[in-house]
Amino acid sequence: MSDKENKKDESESKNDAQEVKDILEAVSATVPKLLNEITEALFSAEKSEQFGMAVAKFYKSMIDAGMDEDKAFELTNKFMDSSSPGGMISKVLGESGGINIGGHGHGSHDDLGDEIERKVKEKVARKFDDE
Amino acid sequence: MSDIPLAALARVPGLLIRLVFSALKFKRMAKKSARKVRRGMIKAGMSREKAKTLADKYEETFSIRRLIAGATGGDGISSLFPFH
Repeated sequence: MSDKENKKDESESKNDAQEVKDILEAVSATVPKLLNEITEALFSAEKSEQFGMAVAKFYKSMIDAGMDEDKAFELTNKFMDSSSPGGMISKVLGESGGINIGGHGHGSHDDLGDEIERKVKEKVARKFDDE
Repeated sequence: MSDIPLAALARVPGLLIRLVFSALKFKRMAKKSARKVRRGMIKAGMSREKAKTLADKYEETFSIRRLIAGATGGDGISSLFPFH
């Protein structure tokens, strides 16, 4: 390998290392802060108590309307599952297809993943051809 | 030797510690929130037994493992996570 190629490789690896450093800096500064803010927004004491009261009222309204207790409880359970913050997060993540790690995510993004993989392979092949 | 500079690698343990603390805070807040939900249900006239069952379910929806499983399509990554 020539000196010129060696220097080019060295400068590319330096750029990559700098990128990794920048990413880690950004992640360590923002992710924990973001998690803390989400946590505080999700679990405010007042909202939690109000949510509990709303669930109980939902249950009571069904009982008052003459519904069977077990059926009312089952429906209340479903209502709570779909309207609690945790349930909503799960639903949103599930519907959006989630995060595809290592290509093992939901099927809906498989085509997109294949397309990206194909484009990257093409670009790499082109780069090798140029060199 | 790795191309990743030592300065960048040095940030990883700090980041992990901060993430662990955030996860612990999340669990603690979820537990506290579930207690408040149960109190609200009892205040609104639900029986203690039913309120407890529902509050436990409410707390379960914040399981970090479950959230990760939902986000990743349940591919086993969540089982690596030490928190429930």
